Amino acid sequence: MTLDKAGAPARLRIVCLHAEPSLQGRLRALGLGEGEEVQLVGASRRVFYVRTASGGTVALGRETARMIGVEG
Amino acid sequence: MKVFLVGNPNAGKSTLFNALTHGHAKVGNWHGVTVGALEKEGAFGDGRAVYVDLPGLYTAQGRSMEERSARAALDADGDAAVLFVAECATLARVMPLFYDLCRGRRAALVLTKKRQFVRRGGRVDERGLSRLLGVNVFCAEGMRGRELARAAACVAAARPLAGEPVPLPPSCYLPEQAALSPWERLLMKGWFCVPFFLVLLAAAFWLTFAPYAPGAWMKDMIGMLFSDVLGGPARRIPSPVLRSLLAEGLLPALGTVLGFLPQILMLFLFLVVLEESGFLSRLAALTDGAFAAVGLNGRAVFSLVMGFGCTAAAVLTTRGLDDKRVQRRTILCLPYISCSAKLPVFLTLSASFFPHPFLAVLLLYALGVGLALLVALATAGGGRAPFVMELAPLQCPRPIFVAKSLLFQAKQFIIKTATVILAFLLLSWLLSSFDWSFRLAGPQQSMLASLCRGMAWLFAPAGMNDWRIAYAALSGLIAKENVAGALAMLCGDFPYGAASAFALAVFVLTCSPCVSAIAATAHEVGWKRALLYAALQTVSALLLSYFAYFLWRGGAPYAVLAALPPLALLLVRKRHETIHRPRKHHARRVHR
Repeated sequence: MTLDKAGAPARLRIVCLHAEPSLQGRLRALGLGEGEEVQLVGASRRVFYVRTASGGTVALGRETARMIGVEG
Repeated sequence: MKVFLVGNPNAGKSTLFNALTHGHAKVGNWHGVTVGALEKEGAFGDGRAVYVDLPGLYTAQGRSMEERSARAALDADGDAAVLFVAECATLARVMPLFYDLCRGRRAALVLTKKRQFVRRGGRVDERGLSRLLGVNVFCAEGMRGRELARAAACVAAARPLAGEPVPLPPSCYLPEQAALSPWERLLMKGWFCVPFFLVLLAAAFWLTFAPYAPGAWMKDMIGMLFSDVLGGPARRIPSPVLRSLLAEGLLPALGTVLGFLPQILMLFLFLVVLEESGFLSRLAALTDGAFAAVGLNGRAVFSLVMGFGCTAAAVLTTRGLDDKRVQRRTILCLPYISCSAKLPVFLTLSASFFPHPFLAVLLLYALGVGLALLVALATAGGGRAPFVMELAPLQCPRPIFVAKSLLFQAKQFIIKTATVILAFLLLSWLLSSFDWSFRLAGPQQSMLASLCRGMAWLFAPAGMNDWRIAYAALSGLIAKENVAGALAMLCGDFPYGAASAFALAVFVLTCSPCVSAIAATAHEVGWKRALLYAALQTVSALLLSYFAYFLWRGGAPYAVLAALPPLALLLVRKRHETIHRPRKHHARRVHR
C-alpha cells in the first residue's frame, strides 16, 4: 500500500519510491529511503507527518505520500 | 585559504560562520534560511582564512535553486577545504552526503546541537568517530573565539577524504530515543495550529498598534522628543534658513519616521519568535493544502511571513522553493504583503479614516494578504512540485538571540534613516523651500512645485489634485518610509478626507516595492521581468487607489459589486479545472 492509505499512528517500512529521481534523492536524504523503518505519527486530508529513525519529523503532502510504498 | 561550510539545512552552518568571522549571516530555526553564499575572512588557527557559508544541501546533486547554487560554488573551487556541519541527531543519515561532498578534499566534521541530542537520549563519541572516519571530528557547541578557530584550523593539515560511507557502530553513535512531545503533537493538528497562529497575530497587532498599548506609547514618546524637546529650540533659531531646515523640514519628517521604530521592532519581535520557535515550519505544512488552491505551496509561507519584515529579504528567500513557477508566483505576491517600511505610512494616514489605528492597520494588512492570494490565483496554473518538508525542532526562542536580532534590525533601520531617508528629506527640503533664484519660498512657489506640478493629476480621481501627494507617493519607490517623511514635511497633517487617505494607503499597499526589492527580484527573475512587474504594479496600484476612493465614497453596495469580478474569476477557474481534470484510474480502464 502507499503511505497515504496508512492510518496514523503506525510503524511502517518503506518498500519503494515512485517519484522522479531528484525527489527520490531528497526523500532518501531525509531518511525516507527504501528499507527504512518509520512511524506515521499524524495524518490529515492533506498532510502526513512521518518520524524517521534519526528522530526528525518530515511533513509530506498527499501527492508525495502517494509516491511512497509501505508495508505495516 | 578558503574553507566552505556545508551540510544539511538548519544544521548550524551560519551560526558557526558568525562565530568564526564575527559576521551577521542570518540564522533561524527553519530549513532554508541561508539562500546565497556568504564570504568573510575570519580567524583560522593563528592565521586567517576566508570562510564561505553555503545554503544547505540534502543531496549532492541538489533539488532546489539554492542547493544547486551551493553545489556550483563547491565545484568551482576544488582546492578549498570543507567543514561539514552536521546536527548530532541526523549524523547517521548525512554520512552519504558527507562522503559525496567531501571526497578528495581536506575535510573535518563539525557536530552541532549536542546538548539537545544528549538530553533526548542520544550518545556520540567524537574521538571514536574521528578514528572510524579518518577525519577530525569536533563539537562546536560551547566553543568560542580562539578555541573554535584552532579547531577549525585542523582541516588545513587533513588528508583528502577517501572511502565509502560506513554504518556508525553503537560505540560511536546512538540515536536519540525521545518520543514526540505533547506540544509537537498538538501543533500537527490544523484545528489548533491555525487558530493559535491567528491568536498570536492578533496579540502582536494589539500590543503594537492599539492605543495605550506599549508600541503606541513609545511612538508618542519619540514624537514628543522631536516635536517638543528638539522642535522647541529649533523654532527659536534666528536664521530663517536653518529654522526652516530643522523646525519645518527635518525634525517633523525624521520624527515621523523614527517614531515608528518601536512598533516596527515589536513586529520584528513577533516574526523572530515565530521563526525561532519552529512554529513556522508547522504552519507551512498545515497551510500547504490551502496554498495549493492558489498555485503556491506551504514553503512559500516562510517568504510571505518574511515579507512582513522586508520585501527584499523575502524575495531572496524564494530561492528555497523547489519550483521556479511557484517562486515567480510568490515574488509577484510579495509586494502586496505590507512590509515594516509601509507601517509609518499606514499609521500616519489611518488617523484620517479610522478612529482606531489598530483596526485601520489590520484592515490594510488583511487587504494586502487578500490581494496577494488573488494575484497568486490569477497566475496559478501548470502544477507544482510535491510538498516535502523537514520540520524544524520546536524550541523556546533564546532571549539573547531574539535581543541580538532586534538590535540588528534597529541598527539597520537607523542606518537607513540616517542615510537614504535623510538624504531624500534634505533634497526634498531644499527643493521645496527655495525657488529657482535660491531665495526662501513657500512650497507652492518652490523648485519642487514647478518640477512636480505636472504630476498633480495622478491622484485627482482620488480627490487629491495635489503635486505634493503625487511626489510623496512616488517617493516610496526609493524607500517606503519616504512617503511618511515627505507627507509630514510638505503637508504637516494630512489635508484630505477619509476616502482620500484610504485611497493613498491602498496605493502605498499595492504599489511596486522599493528599489532594493526590485533589485532582489531582478536577481531572481532578470531585470526585464523585474521592471515589468514594477511598472504593472505601480499602474495597477494607481487604478486600485481610484477604486478604493470610489468604494469608500459609495459604501457597501459598491463593495459587493467590487467582489464580483474576483468571485467570477474563482468560479471560472474552478469550472475549468472540473471539466479538464485528469481521469481517475477507473475511468481510464473503462475508456481504454
